[in-house]
Amino acid sequence: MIAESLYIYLLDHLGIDVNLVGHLRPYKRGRAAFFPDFVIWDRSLVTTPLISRGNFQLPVYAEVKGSTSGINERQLEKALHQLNNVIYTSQDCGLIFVAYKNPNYEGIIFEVWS
Amino acid sequence: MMLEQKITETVNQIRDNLWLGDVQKIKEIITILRMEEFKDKFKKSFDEVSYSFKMARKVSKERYRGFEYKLFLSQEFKERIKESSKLKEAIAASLLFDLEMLLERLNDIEPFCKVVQKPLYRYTIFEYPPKYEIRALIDRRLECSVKGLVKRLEEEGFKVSKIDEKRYAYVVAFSVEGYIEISMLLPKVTINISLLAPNKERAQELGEMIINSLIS
Repeated sequence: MIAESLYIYLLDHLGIDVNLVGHLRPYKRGRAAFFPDFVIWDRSLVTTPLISRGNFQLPVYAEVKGSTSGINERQLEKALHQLNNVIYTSQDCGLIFVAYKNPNYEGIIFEVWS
Repeated sequence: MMLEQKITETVNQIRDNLWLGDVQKIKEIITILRMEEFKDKFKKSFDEVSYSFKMARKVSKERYRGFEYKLFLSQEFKERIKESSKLKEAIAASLLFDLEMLLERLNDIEPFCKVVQKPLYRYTIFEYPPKYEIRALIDRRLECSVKGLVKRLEEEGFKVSKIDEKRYAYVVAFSVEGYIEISMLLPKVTINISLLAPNKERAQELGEMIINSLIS
């Protein structure tokens, strides 16, 4: 939950309209286990450092991972697999946000394309 | 705005109003969305996509384990869906199911607190005398600053002891009258007021003064 909150805080800080961000984590089980953690429907992502290309289509999918120690490779692998379920075309984009303690919380964003 | 985008926005507006306790507003927002017009189409997409996932999982489990299993699962799942737009509709459907369930639950719930309407914000006051919690939803187009608030609190005889203002603002103030804790992450403002003697009107007056100072 801390990592998810930090992610929304970061998006808000970068000027993304968080009203256009859907939080799907609560639905992500059983028949909907392929869902990513978030969908972002705000085109203004293009003006942020989060995405390097302008030719993406909405929504942008995001996976969020938190850790109380360092970055965990297994978590990254899981996040990539999750995004691989929803990234279809060369215009689909995903983001992985990893928040970890070092000793304060720090975060890294990975941009994922097909 | 795309329909899926509109649904996401509506769900977030509803979450804000749930926090405020404005049952009537939530019902209004859900009614405006007119779910019945597209619910069936999205539900069909959800059923198709989730069935494809179920089948892809079954096939993949029979053939692979570990890393290869997940790779094969994604590949198999994508091949079965064919149209990526179905996936977007399936996601929107999940949000719609949630709204539908919420609407059903709200049918039996009477508005449990009075929502005070102001031109630029709405708020509710929860009473635990001598403590009062005020929750306010500010108009999204507004920007807030704590500078005017600090000045106003000092005029009211409060000593402001802690300010933390970045994207999120947190202010603590106290006087012989009571203790106030304000946290703000727009569009939400929460004000916790503990008065020496119970007085709802005074808590409300302080609450309105605080919000007005924040947005002026």
